[in-house]
Amino acid sequence: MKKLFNLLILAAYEFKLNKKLFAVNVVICGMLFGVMLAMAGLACNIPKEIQDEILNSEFGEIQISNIDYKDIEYITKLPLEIEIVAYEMDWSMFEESLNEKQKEINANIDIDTSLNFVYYFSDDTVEISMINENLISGEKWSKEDNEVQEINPLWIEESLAQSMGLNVGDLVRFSNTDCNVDFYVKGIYRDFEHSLAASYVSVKLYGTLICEQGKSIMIRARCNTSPYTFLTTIHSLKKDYFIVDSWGNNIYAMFLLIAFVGICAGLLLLITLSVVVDFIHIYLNLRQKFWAINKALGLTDDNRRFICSFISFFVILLSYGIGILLSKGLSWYFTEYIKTLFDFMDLSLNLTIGQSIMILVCSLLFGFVILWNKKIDINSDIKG
Amino acid sequence: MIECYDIIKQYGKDCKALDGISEDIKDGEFLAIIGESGSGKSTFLNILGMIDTKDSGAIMFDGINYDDLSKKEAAQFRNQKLGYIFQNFYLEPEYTVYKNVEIPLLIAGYSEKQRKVMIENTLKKVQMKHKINQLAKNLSGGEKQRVCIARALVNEPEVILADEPCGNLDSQNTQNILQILKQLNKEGKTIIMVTHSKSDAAIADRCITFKDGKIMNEKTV
Amino acid sequence: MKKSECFHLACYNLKTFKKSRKQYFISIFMVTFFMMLFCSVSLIIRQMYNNIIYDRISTNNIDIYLSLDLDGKEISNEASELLHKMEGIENVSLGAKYSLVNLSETEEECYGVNIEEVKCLINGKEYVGEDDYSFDFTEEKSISKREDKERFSVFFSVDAVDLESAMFTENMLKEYQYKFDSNMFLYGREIQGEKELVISDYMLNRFGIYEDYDSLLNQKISFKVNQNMVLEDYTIVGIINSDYFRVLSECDRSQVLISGTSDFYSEFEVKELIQKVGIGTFADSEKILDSIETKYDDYYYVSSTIYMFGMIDKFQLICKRVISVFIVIIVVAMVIKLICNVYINRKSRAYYYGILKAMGMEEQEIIRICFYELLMILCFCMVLAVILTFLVLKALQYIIEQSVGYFIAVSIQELVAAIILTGGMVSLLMIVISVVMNVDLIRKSIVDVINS
Repeated sequence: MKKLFNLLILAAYEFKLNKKLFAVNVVICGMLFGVMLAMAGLACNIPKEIQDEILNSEFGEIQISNIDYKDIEYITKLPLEIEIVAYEMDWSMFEESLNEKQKEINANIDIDTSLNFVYYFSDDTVEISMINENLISGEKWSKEDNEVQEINPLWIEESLAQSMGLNVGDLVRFSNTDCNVDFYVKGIYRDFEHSLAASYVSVKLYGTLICEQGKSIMIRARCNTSPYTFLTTIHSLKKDYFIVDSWGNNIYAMFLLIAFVGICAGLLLLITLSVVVDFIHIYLNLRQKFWAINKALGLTDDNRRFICSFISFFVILLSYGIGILLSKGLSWYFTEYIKTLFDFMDLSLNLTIGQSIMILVCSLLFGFVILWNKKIDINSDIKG
Repeated sequence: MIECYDIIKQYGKDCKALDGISEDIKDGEFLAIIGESGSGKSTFLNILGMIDTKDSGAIMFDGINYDDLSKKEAAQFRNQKLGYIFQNFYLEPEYTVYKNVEIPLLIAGYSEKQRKVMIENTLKKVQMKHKINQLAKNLSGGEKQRVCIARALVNEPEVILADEPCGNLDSQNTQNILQILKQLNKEGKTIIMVTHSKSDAAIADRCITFKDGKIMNEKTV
Repeated sequence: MKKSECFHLACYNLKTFKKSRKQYFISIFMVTFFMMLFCSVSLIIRQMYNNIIYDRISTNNIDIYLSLDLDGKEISNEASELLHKMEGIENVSLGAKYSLVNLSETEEECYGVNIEEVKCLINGKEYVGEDDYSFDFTEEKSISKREDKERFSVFFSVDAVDLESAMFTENMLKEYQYKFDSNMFLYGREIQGEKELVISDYMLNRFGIYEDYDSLLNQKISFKVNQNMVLEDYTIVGIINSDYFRVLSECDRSQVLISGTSDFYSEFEVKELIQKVGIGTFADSEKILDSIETKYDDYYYVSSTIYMFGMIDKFQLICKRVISVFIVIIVVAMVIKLICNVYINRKSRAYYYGILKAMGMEEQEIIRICFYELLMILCFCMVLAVILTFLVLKALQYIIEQSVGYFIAVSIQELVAAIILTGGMVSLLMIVISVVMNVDLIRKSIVDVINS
């Protein structure tokens, strides 16, 4: 214990002797730590804030041609909120296949005869919920109805069913020059609020039913996850599907900001650590002779490492303290500035205590590793 | 001929390293300056060698006043007329023997061929030719001093100033160095040697003693 | 001592002292490399944001529809009056689509007719309009010849430019310069007086005129639609590059522009003038729109992308602010570091300078040797830093592309700019600091220098 205390005295004396060198490096490292911590704070906290902003924004669409069930399965598993928007198909395109009686009925009744090819992947979407709630005969929609079947289920609106003389279980074949599709009426619903379409079928039939080239299903994606996950998902989708990219610009612009801040934070960490290493090397070179003489007088390598580690840890801690103060100031400044641009009420750009401690521990460990590797050779180091 | 008039050098308010030194040194003379540590002998030599400045007084070298020389002329003077041998050798440890001795010739502006010939001849004189490509840091004390002498000689200066040339050497090497200096003096070089050893001073033609910045007495050997 | 000898000695020093000066070299290299990388990344990000923004800056307009009375005079519009007083508004362009109702014997009001119905007269010579079906300015893609003329044919229409306002907003010009970087007017000038006309080269091509555009300047031009005179004896003052109509806000603008005044508005039965109010930056647009949104719905139109690009612009502003604040702190830290390193290095070199001075080397020559050494170290560091910066940027580019599919373009221009900026700054700093510190040392007496 006494020996340890004596070593600390030696360390304090060394500190006093080289105070100018230490002071300059504390200032430099302090400034760099401050900037680095502020950058790290920006990089960690901005994405969460901006993510909320982007969640409220509208996005564009992913076009998928010739959709089939495998596509549906794949897309449902993506970490995105998906809304399928499919173009409506007119019954008139299939008039040839309707029987004469149905055609006659159609001609006399002015109803909305659009055939919606929309199926939602989960039963908590509004339209499917309404269909199921307002079902007057037949069976409700369920997830199994998405599976491929020989004869496809069809849900039809009450007035349309009456006008076409269709009941639950009736078979209907739709055909035109490009395709033949068989349906059976699985359910009839009442459209109380006039917000539903006249009929619904599985989205997987879209590719079959669409006969005009170039048309494909649109899927609107919402970002309900981290921007990084969103970007990687879009990236994987792009390999197989055509993405209408113009809407993605704001995600990429935000990504550029985060990437820039992240890269700068990484760079600054490297600069700061390199300055710390530099300072250690400069100090050791300056005092090489001193430590060589002490080694000749009986100071062990471990003692030397202890003293030098203590000095460098002290310098790093001091610099880090200055850095924390500077980063708080910078974070406050940027918070105020960003609040003028975005309405972030609770924006905080400070790092958590855990993150700050982690960076400090890395810096201390790094300094220690550099010191550990420094060897003293009495003979050559004394002669200098 | 070197003439010194009332040289004063002061450090701070109270410490007078030289207190009115006046001395004449003739051409071809071997002068030894002895004295205890802190008597001002090295300071005097440094001022003679233009590597330190005086506070007052005058030094004339063959009628040329040191104070009348510009910085450029002083540098040229140091290069051409004076050769300095330091107690601590002051060789560049990372340079080879060749390179250390070459520096004054580079400054003087000799061509590469001329430099090579002059260096080899000089190193031969001090018996260091066999170590011409060795790094200075790998030489022994005696060898370093001989290289230092070679560096001082290579430009063929008129005056050689030696500041305790044997201070860090053993007796055998001391004798070798003193022999070299004696030989140089016989060849006509003026040598001014500072030493604290009376036995080393014995080889000189004349000896002056410094004490507290003043010349105490003079002895002709 | 000759300069070449000084240079050789400097080279020899660098070769000989490489172990002892390793730390010094590493410090300078680190400062140069990190500054260069930071500078490159900043410039690249800035350029990418500019590319995104400038690609559609012209859409950063508010289109206000000004009503005209029967005499062709403007009825005041509150939105317009409010906007003029707001900060962030750039210049305003005022124009109208001329109705061709009484001129083409159509019953309904129309603003354009099929070009094959139009004849153009220049100095008495008649040219007939011909569709080529080859280019759709709004879609920006080529469409192969189709049978359905009506959907893809080129329409002839006329737009007026009010003489009391600018012909183009700043945003339109910025987007054009960014996309095409060429002169907007092939020949001639903007409309400045009455009965003046500007026409695009594409429109002239539709009437069979492919060369000698400059000979058309100051000639009289008239247009007939189905034997009815639409425009008579207008003076051609400018031939505009048809690329201009690929600027996003101008896609549906007529490529025949004439001067407009209230007299003409009533003559041609123009019902509305469209005032394009250019907003300076996308970031300002949200604020401006918020203040007029609730009150003036019916009177104006904005592009749907204005909000999205407002966000993008704000990200850019954050980036710029981050760069500007941090670069100051980093440069100060690096300057202090360089001073510290030079000071330490100078101390270790003092001994060497002392020996040289003792041997008779002049101060000037010693400074020259220092300078050459420094120059060589700087050159070597710069080359290494450039190579490493390039490699790191390419690696970053690859990683980002593979992980999120976004390609960050690393262009030579940005790299060169970063090299020049950083290299110049670091070199200047190093030379100034070294010279100042070393000169101070070299000028001391030899004994002080050797013993320091």
